[in-house]
Amino acid sequence: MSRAESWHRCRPRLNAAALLTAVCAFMVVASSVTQRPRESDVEAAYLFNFAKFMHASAHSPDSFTIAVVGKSAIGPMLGTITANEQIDGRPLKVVQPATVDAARNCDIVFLADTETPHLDKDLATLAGSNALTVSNAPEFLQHGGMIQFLVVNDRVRFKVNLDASNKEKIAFSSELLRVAMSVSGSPGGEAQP
Amino acid sequence: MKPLWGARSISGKLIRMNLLVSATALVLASASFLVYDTYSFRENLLHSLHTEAQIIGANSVTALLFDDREAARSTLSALEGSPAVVSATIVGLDGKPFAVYARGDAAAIAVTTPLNPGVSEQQWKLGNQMLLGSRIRFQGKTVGTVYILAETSEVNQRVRRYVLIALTVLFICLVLTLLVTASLRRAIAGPIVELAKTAQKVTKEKDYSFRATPPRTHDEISVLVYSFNEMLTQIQTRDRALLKSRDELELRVAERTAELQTANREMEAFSYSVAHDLRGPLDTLGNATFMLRHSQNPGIDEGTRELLEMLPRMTERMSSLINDLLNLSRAKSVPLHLEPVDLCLVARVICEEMVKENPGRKVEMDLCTRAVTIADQGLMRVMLGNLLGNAWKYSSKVAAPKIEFGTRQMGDETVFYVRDNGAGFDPAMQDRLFKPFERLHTQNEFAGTGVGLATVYRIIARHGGRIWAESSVNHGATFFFTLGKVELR
Repeated sequence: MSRAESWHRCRPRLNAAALLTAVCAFMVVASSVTQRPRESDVEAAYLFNFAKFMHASAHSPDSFTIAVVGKSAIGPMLGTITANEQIDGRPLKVVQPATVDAARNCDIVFLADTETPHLDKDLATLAGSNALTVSNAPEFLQHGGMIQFLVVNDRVRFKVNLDASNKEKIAFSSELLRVAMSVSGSPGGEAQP
Repeated sequence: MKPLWGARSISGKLIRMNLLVSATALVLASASFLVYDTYSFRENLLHSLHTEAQIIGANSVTALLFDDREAARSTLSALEGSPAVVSATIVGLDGKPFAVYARGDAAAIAVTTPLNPGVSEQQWKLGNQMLLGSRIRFQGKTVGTVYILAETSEVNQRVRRYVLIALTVLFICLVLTLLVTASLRRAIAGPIVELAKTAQKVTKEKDYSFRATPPRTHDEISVLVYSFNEMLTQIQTRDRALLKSRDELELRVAERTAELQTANREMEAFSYSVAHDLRGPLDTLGNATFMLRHSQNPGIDEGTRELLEMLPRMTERMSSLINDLLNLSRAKSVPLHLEPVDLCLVARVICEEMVKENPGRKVEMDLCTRAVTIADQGLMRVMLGNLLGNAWKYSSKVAAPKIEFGTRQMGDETVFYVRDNGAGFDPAMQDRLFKPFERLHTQNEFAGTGVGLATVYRIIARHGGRIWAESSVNHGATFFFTLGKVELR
């Protein structure tokens, strides 16, 4: 069979496939335009993903708990995302403790931007609890937080403070650090393999 | 170059065979290598694309999860090291391109077809390009898809290069084959050609002294040449033996013929002289008897006179016997004076003489009018005299004797016949009929010497004819004879 012949035979199939793909792509684009994901939803997804790229000593063998402290829209979405999910074989649990102190037992603590006025106090409370601290409050890392969300060009990005995480014996996968907007501190902590 | 490609010579066939075998082997080998090479090249390309897709997928997980397009792009840019890759695209879960890579001025992948459900990897062939789609999975979940478009045009380039190399090798091999075959041809075809030439020469010139030059090698061809030469030697030996025996035979035949001729001549001279010499005293005896019979001598009494009366009959018989013997002898030895003879006329003259000599007998005669042939007139007269005389004699005791002489057409031959209705003879005795001194009747029944038919036989034979007879006892006899060409009118 000559090349031209095979090319002709392939062509219609390819066209049909291309048309189908184009239609699908258009529909996806159209729906995404109308339903642009909210910033809090993206942050909820990221929070869940952080759990997958971090290494820390487990607080409880029965569950992996994410605590949301302060007023935030992240809670319901996080609940939806983490439903029936597991981290290292531990079922995911999302809690909204009334006090920061109650969150010491959790693996990840999200401090909503409503907590901005008393970040130092919150972080001091969580010190030594081996919990990953994440917040979308500005200047979070300067206060001693570990991961801070921020919005750049309409996209949610994050910064990492390795010094803070090292203190709490939390190690991040290099994969995670690669996609971080910036990484401060030195990676030479004990938990870093 | 005609003998090289023509099917007529062995060397041409050898060369063609060798070229064909080498070319076939080379083409087959090249083709199989080419097929294998093309196949393995595609396999390798596919394998490396698969590996690259896996690596890119693994390195793009976090980029996808954290929506970091820049990181994904930098991951994709690692494909610059793969010359076959034209472009690549990472597609997110939303089906939209997440990161795109395109080599140099190449266009990005225009269309990314979704993978079939349940498949982790899929490939498409697009003309000279190959598209590989691979799912990016993280912790058991699909987070996106990476598509890599690679060009396979290198395959065609390799095929072209391969064919070029194969053709060059083929050409060189054929030239080498020609050279090698040329030397082989000297070894194999040379002696055969030489042998064929010698065989042709021997056949054409019928000279068996030629020999084919034996080859220096010791193989079937040398055996053939040696056998051929041996055969020629045998033929020569046989020829010599044949010639020798033929010469001997001719010599012997000549000797025998000469002996026989001498014996024959002596025999004829003897019989002639005997017959001739006998006649003299017989004539004297006849004259003396005649004188005694007519003598008036009173001393001759009646008894003596009766005895004297017997003597002329005896001398007459003796005389006719001598005549017959002389005729027989002459029939054999007299040179032939060939001239046109009308046998019918000869027969009529003889019959008239017989009638005149025996005026008391009444015989019905049926004779032909004209039948001219080339023969010796004197011998014809002797021959017909004998045959007609026999017919006259053996029909003497029949009430209404009849004698016929004529011709009859048998096939393309004119046959003469002499027929009578007389005593005839026993057909069983036919083979004795033409032998001298053989008689089928006693002297008392019919007088005769037994030499007549032998003479007839000789005369006919000397004229190149044949004679035979048909008869049965008491129903007459017919003698047939041929004398070659006869003119009837």
